Amino acid sequence: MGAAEPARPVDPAERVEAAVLAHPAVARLDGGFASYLPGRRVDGVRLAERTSVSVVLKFGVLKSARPIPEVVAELRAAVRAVTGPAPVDVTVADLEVL
Amino acid sequence: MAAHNTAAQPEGGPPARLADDTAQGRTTIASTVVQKVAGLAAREIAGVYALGGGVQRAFGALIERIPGAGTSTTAGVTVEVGEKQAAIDLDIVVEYGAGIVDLARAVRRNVITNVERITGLEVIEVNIAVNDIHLPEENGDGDQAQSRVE
Repeated sequence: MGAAEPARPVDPAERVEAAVLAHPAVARLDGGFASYLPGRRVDGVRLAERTSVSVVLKFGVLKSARPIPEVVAELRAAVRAVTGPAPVDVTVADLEVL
Repeated sequence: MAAHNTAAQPEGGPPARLADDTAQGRTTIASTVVQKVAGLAAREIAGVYALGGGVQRAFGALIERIPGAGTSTTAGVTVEVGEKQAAIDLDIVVEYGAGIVDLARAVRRNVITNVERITGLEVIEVNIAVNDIHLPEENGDGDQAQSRVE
């Protein structure tokens, strides 16, 4: 997750990644696209004029009464708290079924 | 921002559709997601032995019911996902003894309820093909190995 040591500045993509992964319904980010940083790559996050994130959600959490639109709205709000007012496109790429 | 698609359409990977488009951003639900929800909902019903089996009616899927929607299939579940709607085809194997008409009705109800609740898409149809019946002594789970004499 986000590099906590002050040695290296935390990239905005990493802050978006941390905000998304903090949601209990998110299993992981999907690797359909990525942000390429020096020394590492952040899957499922792209920052441009629009912010895009691609996530894999946990089926178990959705099943217990959390519809996808609700989870997506929460993710969008969490990402916008990091990136500002730019539109956030959210892709639900897959479900993780345990 | 108008409700209009500007740039950056499909990211590659499975066919995916927008389900929502607002000034705050687009929401896309991949068809894999709808497939998994539908498949799990069908399997939940007692009397469904398995999904798939038989010849998957691949050619039937060539007829598009939702314009522009991609079709994808895995293990007996074919879905077409549009912007607001989904259509689902299921191939199921039933347990011997189950009343097929009642079973199909229960499967359809559970699939519609779950897909609509979880994905927020409207399910316009669920077509169910029962292509086999599972008999208890198939697969060697009966007492095949038991001999009649000691």
